[in-house]
Amino acid sequence: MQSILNWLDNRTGFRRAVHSVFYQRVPGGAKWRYIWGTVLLFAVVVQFITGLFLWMHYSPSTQTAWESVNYIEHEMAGGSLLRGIHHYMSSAVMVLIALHLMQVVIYGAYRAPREVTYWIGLAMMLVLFGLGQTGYLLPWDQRGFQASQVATNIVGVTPGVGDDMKSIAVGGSEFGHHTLTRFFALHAGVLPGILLVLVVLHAAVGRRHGYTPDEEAADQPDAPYWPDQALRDGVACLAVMGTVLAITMLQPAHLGPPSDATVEFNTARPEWYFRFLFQLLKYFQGASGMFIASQLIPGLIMLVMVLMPFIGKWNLGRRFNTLFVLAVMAGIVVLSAISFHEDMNGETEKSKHYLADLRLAKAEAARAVELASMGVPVAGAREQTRQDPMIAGRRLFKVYCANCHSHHDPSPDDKIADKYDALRNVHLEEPTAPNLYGFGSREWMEGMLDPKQIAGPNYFGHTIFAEGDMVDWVNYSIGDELADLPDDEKKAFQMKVKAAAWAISSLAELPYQREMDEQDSAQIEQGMELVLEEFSCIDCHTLGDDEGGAGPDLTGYGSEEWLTEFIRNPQTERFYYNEDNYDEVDRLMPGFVTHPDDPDLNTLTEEELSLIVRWMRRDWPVAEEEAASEESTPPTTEATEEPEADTSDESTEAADDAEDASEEADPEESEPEATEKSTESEPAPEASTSEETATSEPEASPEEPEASEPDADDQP
Amino acid sequence: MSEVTTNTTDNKTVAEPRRSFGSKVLAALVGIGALLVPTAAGFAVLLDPVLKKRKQGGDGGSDDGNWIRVASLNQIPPDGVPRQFAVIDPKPIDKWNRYEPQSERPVLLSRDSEDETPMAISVTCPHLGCIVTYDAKDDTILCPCHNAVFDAEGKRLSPDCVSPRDLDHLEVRVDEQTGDVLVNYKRFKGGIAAQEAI
Repeated sequence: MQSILNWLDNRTGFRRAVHSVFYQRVPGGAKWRYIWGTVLLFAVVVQFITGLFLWMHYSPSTQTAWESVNYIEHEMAGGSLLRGIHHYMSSAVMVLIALHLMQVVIYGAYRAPREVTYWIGLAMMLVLFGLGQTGYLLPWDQRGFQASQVATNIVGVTPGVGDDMKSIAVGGSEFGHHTLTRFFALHAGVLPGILLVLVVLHAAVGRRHGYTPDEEAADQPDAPYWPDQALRDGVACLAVMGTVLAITMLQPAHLGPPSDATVEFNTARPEWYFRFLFQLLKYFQGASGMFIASQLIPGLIMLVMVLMPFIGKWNLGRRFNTLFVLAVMAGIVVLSAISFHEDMNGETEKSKHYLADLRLAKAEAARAVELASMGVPVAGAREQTRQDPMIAGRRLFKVYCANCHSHHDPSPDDKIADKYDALRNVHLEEPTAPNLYGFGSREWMEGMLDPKQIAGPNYFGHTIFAEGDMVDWVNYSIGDELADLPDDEKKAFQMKVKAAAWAISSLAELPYQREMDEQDSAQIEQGMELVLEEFSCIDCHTLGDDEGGAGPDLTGYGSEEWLTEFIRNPQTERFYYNEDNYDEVDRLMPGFVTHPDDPDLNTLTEEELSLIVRWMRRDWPVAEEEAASEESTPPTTEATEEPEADTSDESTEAADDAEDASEEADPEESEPEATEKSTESEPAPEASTSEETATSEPEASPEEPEASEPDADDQP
Repeated sequence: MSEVTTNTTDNKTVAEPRRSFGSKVLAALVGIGALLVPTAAGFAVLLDPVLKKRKQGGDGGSDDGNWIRVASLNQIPPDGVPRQFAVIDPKPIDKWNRYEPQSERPVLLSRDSEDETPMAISVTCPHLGCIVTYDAKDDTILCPCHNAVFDAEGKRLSPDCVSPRDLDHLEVRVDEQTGDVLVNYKRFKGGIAAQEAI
C-alpha cells in the first residue's frame, strides 16, 4: 500500500497538494471567524452534487420542464428532499456570499497582496448570481417564468445592444424551447464550468498568501488547518446543512402552476435575494429609469467594489469601503423589507389583492399537481390546466361572467378553507347580478325560497327581478304564510319549503350532491309533490310535461343541459324573455352563444361554455388518490364526500328538523328513520360515484334521472 | 496549482498536538456527515427505479391480467399459420406522460382448426429481445438478430439455438358472443431459461 502511494506521489506529488490544504498555516490558531470561505465553498459543492442528480431527471422543453420537475418533486423517491436542498441551498449561498464579502471588506482582506484573490471572488459572486437567476426559470412554473421575463427585459434595456442581447438570452423573441435549453446549458454547463475554474484560482491564489491574519490575535501562536480549524469549518458546514434540511422538511421547495403567458398572474416575484432590485425598479420610471435601476446603479456598486483595493490605500479609503459595503447591504435589507411589507401587510388594497392572488396561485399549483398525477397529455401540463374545468372554468368565469356575477361562498363564518378554496371562488366587490356560488345546490335553492334572501344581494337584489313575480310569490306565499302560522306549525312549514328546495335542487343532478340526493330520495319525492301541488310552482314555471306560464323553465333546472342552454341565450321564451320584460331587455343577461350557425360570432366557444358550466357545477375530474383520501375519512355525518363541510351539516340539521317536524306535525311528510339511516350510511358506494364523477362525460349518465324520483316504498 | 509557500515546517507551533486525535475523528465525521446529506438525497432519486416499482408503458391491467383485444376470431384462418396482429395498449404511460392508445409489440396468432382456441406467440425473441417474423417458405419463425430459428409453434428447432428458451406463449381468451380474441399481454425477461414476466 505504502509503495503504491509512494509510486503515485512520485508521479503526481499529491502528498504535497494534500499537505498544502490540510497543514496550511492558520494565523493565530483556529478561529470561528475563519470559517466563512469554507462554508461558502461547501454550499457550492452541495449545489454541484444535488444539481448533478437533478440534471439526470430534468427535461428542458416547454412541454416537459414543469412536468419533469413535478415528477421529481412528487413521484420520485427522495425527489422532494433533493430538490428542496438544491432550492434552499441557493439561498444559503447568497447569505454566505454576503457574510463572506462583508468579512473581507471589514477586515480589509482585499488589500495587497490579496487583490487578485478578491477580484476572483467578486467574479464568482456574479457567476453565482447568474446561477440563481437561470435556475429560477428552469421549473417553468408561473413564478419563474414571469419573473424571468422581467430579468430578460432588464437585459433588453442595455443601451444599443439590449435587444440583441435579450434575443440571444431568450433564444428568439419569445420564451420557448430554446429559452429553456439555453438557460439550462448556462445553469448546468457554462456557469458551473466557469465557477469551477474560478474556485480553483481563488483557492490557489488565496493559498499563496493564506488566511488574512486576525489583527487582534497577532500574538497568538499559529496552528495547522488540520484538525482544529477543519473541525470548526465542519461544524459550521453541518449547521448550514442542518438548517437547509430542516427548512426543506418544513416547507418543500415551491413549484407554482405551469407557466402560461396568456393568463393573468400577479404574484410574479424574483427570488428573495433579488427582491431589492425588484423594489428599486419601482422607484425609476420609464425605459431610462429601468436602465438606471437595473444596470447603472448595480454597475456602479460593482465598480466601487472592484476598485476597493485601490481606494483602500488612501487614508480614509478603508473606512469608506467598509461604510460603503455596509450601506449597500443595509440598502438591500431595507428595500427587500419594504417590498415584502408592501406585499404581505394584508391592509392595503394592493396587498390584499396580492395575497388573494397568492392563494389562487397556490390552489392552481395544487390542482395542477393533482391533474399531473392522473397523467399529463403529450401537449403538456399547461394544456392540461387550460382544459381543466376547475382552473380554466374559473378563469373563463372571471373574464366573461364576473363583470356582473360574483361567485363566492356567502356564509359569513370563516370556514377552514381547503386547498382548492380559492379556485371555487370569484369575488366581485360590486356585483349587479346574483351570486352564483353553489348555483342549483340545496343551500342555493333554500336561499331562493327565503323571503329574507331572495331580494338580497346574493339573489335578485341587483336585478330587475327584485320587483318581479318570483320575489312577490316568495314574500307572500312563504313569508306572509309563515308569519300567520301558529308557532307550533312554523317548523313543519319550514320543512316543507326546504323539501321543495331540495326537490328543485335534485333536478340539477350536481355531482357533489349525488350521494345526498340518493340518500334523501324519499324527502325529495315529497318535496316534488309540494312543488307541483301545494306551492303551485307550475302555475308560472314549466316543469317536465306540466306547461307553466312566463317563468323560466324548471325542467332540469341547474343541470348541465339547462345551464348550457341558459348561458347560450337566456333571452328566450324558455328562460327570462317574456311580456313582463320586453322593454327591459338591456337589463337581462346577454346570450353568449347565440349564433349556432356561425360560431365566429359567438362570445364563447362550445369548449369554453362547457368549461364554465362544469366549473359552476363542480364537475371536474378527481385523482384516485384524492378520492381515496376523502374516502378514508370516517363515515360520520360531518364527513361525507362533499367538498363543503357545511353541506353535510345542513343535511344533518335537516334530518333533525325532519324528525322534529314529523313528531310534531305531519308524520307522513318525512321519514325520520330513513333519513337518519341515510345520513349515517356507509361510504362504500361513494367510491364508485366519485370515480364516475371523475370520468363522466358531459352527458348525464342514464341512471341519474331515476335517482331524483325513486320509489320510497321500495326502499328497505 | 500555485507553488506552496507555507507548510508545517515554517509554522511557529509544533505540527500536531497529540491530543488532537479526537478532534481529527470528529472533524472527519462532521465533514463527511455534512456532505453525506445531499449525496444521500441524490442517490435516493437515482435509485428511484429500484426503490419505487412502477409499471412502465401501460398500467398493466387489473389483477385478472392485462387483457387486450387483438383480433376477431374470423380473422385467423384455421390453417396453423402464425399471423401477426397489432396490439394496441389502451393506456400507455411514460413517467409523467399519459398517451393516447398506441401500438405495442404485435403478437402472432394461429389455430389449427375452427373449434380450437387460437395460440398467441410473443414476437419478442427470448434471446435479446429482437422481433421475430414468420417465414412462410420454411414454415418457421426466425429471429434476424442472431439467427434463432423456431417452428411455427415457437419451439426451438435446433439444440444449439442461441435462444435460452422457446418463444413465449401468451394466454388467449375468446369472447363467445362477439368473437373477439383477447390476449393477456405481458413481457418476459430475456436471456434466461425460465419464463419470468416483467
